[in-house]
Amino acid sequence: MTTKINVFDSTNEIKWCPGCGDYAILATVKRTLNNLNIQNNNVVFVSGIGCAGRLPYYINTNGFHTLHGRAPAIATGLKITRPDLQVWIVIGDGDGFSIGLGHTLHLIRRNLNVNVLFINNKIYSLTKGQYSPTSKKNFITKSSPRGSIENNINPLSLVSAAGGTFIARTIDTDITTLSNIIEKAIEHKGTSFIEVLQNCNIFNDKAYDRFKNKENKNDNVIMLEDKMPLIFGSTKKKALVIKNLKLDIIDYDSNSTDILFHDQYNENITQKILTDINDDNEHFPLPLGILKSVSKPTYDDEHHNKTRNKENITNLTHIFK
Amino acid sequence: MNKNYLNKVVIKFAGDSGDGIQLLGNKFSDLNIKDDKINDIYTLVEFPPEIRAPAGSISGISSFQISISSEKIYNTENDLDILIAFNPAALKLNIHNLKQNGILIIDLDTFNEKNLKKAKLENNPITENNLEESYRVIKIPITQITYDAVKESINSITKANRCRNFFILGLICWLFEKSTKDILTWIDEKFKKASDLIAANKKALIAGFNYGETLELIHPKIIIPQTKRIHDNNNRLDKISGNKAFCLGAITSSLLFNSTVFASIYPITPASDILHELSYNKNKEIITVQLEDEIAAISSVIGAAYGGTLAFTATSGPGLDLMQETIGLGIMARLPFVVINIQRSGPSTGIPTKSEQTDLLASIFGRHGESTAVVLAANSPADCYWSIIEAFSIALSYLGPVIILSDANLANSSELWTIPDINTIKNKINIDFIKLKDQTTAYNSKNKKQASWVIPGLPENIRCLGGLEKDYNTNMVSHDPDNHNRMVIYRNDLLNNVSELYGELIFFGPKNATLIITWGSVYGITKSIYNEIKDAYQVALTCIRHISPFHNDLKDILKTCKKIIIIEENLGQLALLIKAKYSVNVTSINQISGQPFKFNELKAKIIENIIHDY
Repeated sequence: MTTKINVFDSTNEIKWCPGCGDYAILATVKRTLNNLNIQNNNVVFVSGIGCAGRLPYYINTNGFHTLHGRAPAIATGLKITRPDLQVWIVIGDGDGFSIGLGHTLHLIRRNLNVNVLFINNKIYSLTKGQYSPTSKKNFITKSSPRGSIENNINPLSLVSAAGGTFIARTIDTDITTLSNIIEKAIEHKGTSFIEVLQNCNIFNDKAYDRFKNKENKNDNVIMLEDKMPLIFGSTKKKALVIKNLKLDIIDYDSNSTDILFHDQYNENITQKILTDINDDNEHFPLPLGILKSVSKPTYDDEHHNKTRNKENITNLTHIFK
Repeated sequence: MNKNYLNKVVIKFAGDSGDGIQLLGNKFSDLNIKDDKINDIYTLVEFPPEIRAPAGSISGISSFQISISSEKIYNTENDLDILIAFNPAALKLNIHNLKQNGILIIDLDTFNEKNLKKAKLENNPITENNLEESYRVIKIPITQITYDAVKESINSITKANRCRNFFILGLICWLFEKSTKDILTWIDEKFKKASDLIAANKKALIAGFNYGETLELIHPKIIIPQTKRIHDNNNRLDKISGNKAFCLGAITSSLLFNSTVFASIYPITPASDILHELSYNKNKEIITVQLEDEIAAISSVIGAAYGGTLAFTATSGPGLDLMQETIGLGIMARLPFVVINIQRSGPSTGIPTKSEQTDLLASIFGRHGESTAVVLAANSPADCYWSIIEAFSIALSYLGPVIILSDANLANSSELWTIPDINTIKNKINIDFIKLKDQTTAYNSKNKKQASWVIPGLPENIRCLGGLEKDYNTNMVSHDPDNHNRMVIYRNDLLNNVSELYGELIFFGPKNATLIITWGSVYGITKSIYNEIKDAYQVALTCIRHISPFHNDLKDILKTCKKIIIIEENLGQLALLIKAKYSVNVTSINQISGQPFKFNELKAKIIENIIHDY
């Protein structure tokens, strides 16, 4: 591959910790946008507060580094008034699923035509290590020295419940999958929600190693492919089925019946089942790739359809009847 | 014919929330401004905080008050000439405001045991209280007469009861010598989907008018000489409430600046009407949204402002509290937008439907960090129109948020107003909106005084804004202590420079007199009092529309006056600022009851404080 000038490369000094998973995410985002020949002056990254929130400073495009949790609401005002712009929202697990959870879910239910990059490291890093809503129960942090007493939430399950039309998940180091998801997310009309599992090597190192280590990752993840059976394992010998109204795993061979198939483009119950598997579930493989991509009217389009009249008001007396 | 010529009449209609009081009041108001006999009017609507409190109870009373005059009216009056009470609770709640010898019209049929109990009245005021000694009481069995009139069209007592407002409207039309012709036409249009209601409401209206004829010998008709203001081809008069004025001002701003206007409003009493009215008028250039909370409302506003659109939100006290963090971001990122705060009784939920001026300091200073905001205060319902236009102009020049203070009184009052010609206003605006958006970033421009608002999407223009401190020269994130100090001062200078954009200070009277200072809705009543006393006393009056920063000329009139009286509906918030900023002595007149000042009481207090001996 020839080296190409990347217009999204910024000269700003990056201040994330060395070894942070955000570097890989940033590089993939920049490369993918550049490869798609997207004009950098037509893109806006709106972010909240947290390590992820600094991303707009490190990419050569328009950015708005805003308030903790509010990026989805700020992007809503921007996208409705400027439908010509490609709008990205960057949120973290504290930003988007603690303080800003309400805004995140309302954004999704409205299906505004934007892309959400949700960077989940399961820890508050910028405030130097407290548990977040996605941190596992019993997790020991500075604010939970004897282990967190809180149940964690499953972000994609919430996104699905809010009516998410595009739901995807990948890992910071899986450049190919992330790149592919970004491309599809841009194509999708509606809120495209991408969860990236990101390693915080300072406060929550190796949190996702079981999805990365070569020895066992194939048993712990299921790479989703549209119209394909839900099979996984290093030799593709395991399959997901519904047995006795429960999700189950069977040994797979070509004669197996009742295997679940992945269908990302038509709304179906399998998508719900897949979003319900959280990354702390040790019985089932974590679904990676595009979990769902269905077509529904977007908020911005619906909004412009419902106006009193198309003509502009030129005289105030028209308003008085 | 027996006629009574009066310069001013104050009428109040009061009844249950479901009695159609607002429709009655609005239709009668329109009769005074839409035919060729024009009078000045000033109206005030009062709603109960509960939506449908039990019928007949005190807490369910809704009312509409209208003052009609041959001269300019500045405020809601306290004393009524005519009270129309639809039930005992409405009588109980309002009778103390009726003047001696005032006209009291009641529906006799409602003064039964059940309704008296609901109104918590032990005695029947009609029979026990000798009302006739104080008032001219007109007792009419309205329920029965209305039922008799409409029963051929709708044979239901409940439905017939809902026609009582038209009976009253007919009667009042007779009393004020107004033709019912326009109302009959309007009924045809309004109720075109229900022919039985057309017939019934018309019959009730005519029954009311005819009933007046039978009263003629006892009660003379009321005639108010018309005002000098007239409709002509270029100017049309209409009544305007503070909240409606904000909507029209927003629409006008869209035309003046050739921009889409984006309004994002979360429902809250008493600001919701702005959302309703503007949503109804939504078009390609007027965008309204209702998001999940006040934080989302203001957030979407700053997002739209970032994108280069004129954007505003409207809220009330509790909502303002939630919006403060984002207003701070607006000051830091230098984004122009407007926040309308319709003040209501607080703290916390307080009395949501009642008025106060208690958010002044919270608006100016209510954020962390050095983040003083630009604050304007509208001083009449129609002034809300000019305030939002001015606020947008300032926001665009200053590049930052502007807060407008209104209150529940201005929101729910309306006054007679000449609908302005947009082209005339346009000539006064000197902001090139398109050019403004095309220049380089606010912090980065070479001439720091002429900031500009660069928007995303322009070719070869990339920008990253945010809440982090920026370097004075490079616009890059900076944690440098000296730079921060410089930037804090720079932002404060930008704020203070806003006063250079103001028009003339409102000021009446001699400079070496006792100076009365007011702001917001208190200005109206104070102006009325001032007009009454100005010839007899050495007194001057100013109204502060620019709360932060103050008008440059204020200092001069404060230094030359003999004494300062500040009147406001709080514990002295403006007084605190004036004392602190100008080191002057101030006498405060305050009231925080949720009600407007009483005219005679306020007048007495003012006179008591005027210095006579010089």
